[in-house]
Amino acid sequence: MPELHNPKGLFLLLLAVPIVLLYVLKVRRERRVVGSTWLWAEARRDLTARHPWKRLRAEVPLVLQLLGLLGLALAFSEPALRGRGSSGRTVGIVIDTSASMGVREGDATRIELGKRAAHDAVDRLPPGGTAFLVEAGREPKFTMAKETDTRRLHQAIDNVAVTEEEGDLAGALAIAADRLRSEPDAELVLVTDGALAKDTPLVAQGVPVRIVKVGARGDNAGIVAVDTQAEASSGQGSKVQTFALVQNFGAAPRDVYVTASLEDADAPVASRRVLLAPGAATPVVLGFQAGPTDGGKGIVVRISGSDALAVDDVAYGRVPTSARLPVVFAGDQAGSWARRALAADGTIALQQLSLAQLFRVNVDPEALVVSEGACPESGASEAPGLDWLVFLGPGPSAAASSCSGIRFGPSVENPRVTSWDRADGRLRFLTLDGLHLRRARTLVSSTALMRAEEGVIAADAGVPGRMVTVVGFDPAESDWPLRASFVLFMRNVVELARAHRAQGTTAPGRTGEPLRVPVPTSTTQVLGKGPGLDDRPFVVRGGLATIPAMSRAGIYHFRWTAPRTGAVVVPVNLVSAAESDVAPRDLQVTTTVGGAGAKAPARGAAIELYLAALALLVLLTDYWYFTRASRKSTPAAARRATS
Amino acid sequence: MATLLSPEFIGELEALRRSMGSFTRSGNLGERLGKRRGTSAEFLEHRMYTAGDDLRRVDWLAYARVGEPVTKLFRAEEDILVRLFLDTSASLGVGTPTKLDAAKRVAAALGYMALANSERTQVLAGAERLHAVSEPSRGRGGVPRFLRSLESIEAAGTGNLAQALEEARRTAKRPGWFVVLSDFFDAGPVLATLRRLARDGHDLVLVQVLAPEELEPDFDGDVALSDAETRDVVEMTIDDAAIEAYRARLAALFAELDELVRQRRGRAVQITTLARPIEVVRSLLGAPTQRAQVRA
Repeated sequence: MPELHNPKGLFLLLLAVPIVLLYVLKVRRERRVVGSTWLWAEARRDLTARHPWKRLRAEVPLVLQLLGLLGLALAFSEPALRGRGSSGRTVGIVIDTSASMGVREGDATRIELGKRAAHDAVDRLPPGGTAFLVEAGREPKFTMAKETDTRRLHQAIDNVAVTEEEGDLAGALAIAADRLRSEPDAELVLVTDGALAKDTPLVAQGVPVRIVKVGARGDNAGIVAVDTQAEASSGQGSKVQTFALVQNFGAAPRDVYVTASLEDADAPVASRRVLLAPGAATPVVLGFQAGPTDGGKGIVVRISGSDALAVDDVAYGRVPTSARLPVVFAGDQAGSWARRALAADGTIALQQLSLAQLFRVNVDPEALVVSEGACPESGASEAPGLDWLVFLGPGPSAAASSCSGIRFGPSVENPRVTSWDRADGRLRFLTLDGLHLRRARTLVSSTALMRAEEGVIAADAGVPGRMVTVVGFDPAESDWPLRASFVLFMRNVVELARAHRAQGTTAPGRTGEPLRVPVPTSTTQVLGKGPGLDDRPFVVRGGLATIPAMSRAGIYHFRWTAPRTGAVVVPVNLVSAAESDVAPRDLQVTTTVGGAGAKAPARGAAIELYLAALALLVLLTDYWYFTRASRKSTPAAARRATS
Repeated sequence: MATLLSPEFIGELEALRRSMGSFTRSGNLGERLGKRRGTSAEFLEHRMYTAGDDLRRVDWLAYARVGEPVTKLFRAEEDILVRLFLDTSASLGVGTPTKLDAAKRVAAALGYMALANSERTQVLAGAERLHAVSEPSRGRGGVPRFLRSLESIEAAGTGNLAQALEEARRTAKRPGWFVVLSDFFDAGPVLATLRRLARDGHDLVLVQVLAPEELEPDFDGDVALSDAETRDVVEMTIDDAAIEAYRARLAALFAELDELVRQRRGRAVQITTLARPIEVVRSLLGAPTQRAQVRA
């Protein structure tokens, strides 16, 4: 089937209307006197005395003129035979493997249609010709380097599979064009449905491009955004709200049900019926009460019905563990100023422990630990919780020589604060001028937060994935708690811990993008399970497990066993309006073949010249028909001769 | 006279006039033996004498043999009245020569033969109505007046053949030979009127006069057909299908006329304006199985 690069040329077909009008309008007739019109009226075949129109008959000139017009209109619309152009000696085949290529078109998906076109391009390679294959997913992937063996090329094409990712067609095209630029007789075959996720212009410098567009369906609705939040806890469990943005890209309205269910349950926990107007994006809020054990579980959001693309009909989320930041206070002092400051904060869930309990009870791995006198064991890597704030004072630290890798210097009496790191988030919006300290431990650290004339008295001891703040004095031995700066400091630490927690794995991942999963720093390996993963191990470095890009959407579970058992759920989604909008679109590639530098539409085998020549031939025939020599005998005479 | 009847034509007619068959007698005295009783010398039958019978017709020899008076009866001698009805509607003015001219030549031939046979001949002309009725002529002496009556007829006006024939039927009290010369292009109840004429005892002879182009239309394509009588215009696209449909309709019209007169011992003939009148006369006087179309 040819494709039209300039469909507006078909507007020329409107000229058929006046042409046909000329044929159906009454003509000036020869007047003949007959004895009576009675018998003629009886025998009339197309009596038109009272009508301005006559019956349209397929006359030779009319047929010729309409054929000529059709040829011209098709020629102006710049048709090109899909997949039938001549091939160069070196062909780069770029196949779009983005999610929209999974749309089913009749008995085949777009990717299958695209693979057929790719097979066709390989079949048309001249003897000795080479080809390579690039898959245009989220990241361009060279599936097959330059190869002359068509059998291997066909095999590589057969192995191409659609992903559930946004595609980067421009990147793949640029890379492929770069490989072909130095080839003398090269051609780039771009197989795509035209649904581009990025606005990046398609550029193939110096290489002729033949676009093979696949797909025609446009009836699709999908979830283009999803988010999950928890409201304030109310004892057991919390109220969870899942936000989904559902968009209808079809031309007809759709009535769908949007449901949310937990990953290990079939029954939905929330459902809403939504009427989707054509082209409209409709936000849907699904609220439900999460149970006390539901925190961290995966949520599956679905829209009902079947349409062109199935992958965007499902999105995934995670039940938030709690809306309030878990904070553990560990200290043995009665009337601790730090504990009092934390207890006054309604946005946290405070857990109070003694110093002896701190390393024995189970602590939320995402908790902020505030200790008076206790430092994380063995540095910061194996400590419970996530972030730490340590006030050095009475307790184990009094006899220690270091804390979280920071060595202690000598104790100083009545130190005077001379400077503090105003750029650090923990010391934002506060002043320490006039602060009186009774005594403090100096710290040997290059990441000072507070300095006195005698040395550093507060420092950062953080490691990757964990914020550790060491304050070298007991607030009770200063007038700091009486100042607003103490409250601000405590609040800054809490908010940074909250932000740190939010930057963890709670945010859903996207297909095609790598995941960064924070784990305990001493953990060396995590096992991943999910779509396409079956307890696959991943190496952890510095408390961060970097998971390669997932090509499939779904709920992924990552678990580890050392230093203690832990797990995290990571939802991965497509949620791409560009991929969900599967309607065919125009596609243009900027080429600079021959150094012309002009922006020319890429095309397949152009046939407009042949069509224009055919149209000219038809019109010449029409001219000949009208101007040919008249026959000597009239039709009536001919009838008499035959009768 | 020279216009309608040339000397050569008259010679041909003289040879044919003896073959004129017997036609319905008019009932008036004439030279033709009738079926009724009359005063001719042709004996018909005897019957018993009744009071009032002419004594001169008593057969005395028969009376002597049977003893009862018997009266001799003889056949009557009657004449034949030939009525020539010409359609003078404007449609008869079509053609070269016109259809009316052709009709007048045929009428002149038939009238001459009748007059030469001492029959009475009358010319009737009508278009929308019957507008000319000549005095019947008899014998050769009546030929000039008869021809003048014919020559004075012109084609004009719209036609209503059924009405004109009906009025002619009312004037023709006595039966005779009733010849209708027309193109019969009339949508009125012509056939019904002709049937009434036949029921009145007339021997019907129908001559359909057509121009050659009416038999074989010589035009094609987009034409505006103007009716010679009504001036109505019918715009048509003439093609083979239209020609065939017209021909079929024309053939059906003549078939209806022929069917009507054959059932009543009459004749129908279709002629063109190019047909020789003598051929038309031969066709009319010939056997009924003879070809009923005379074209040229």
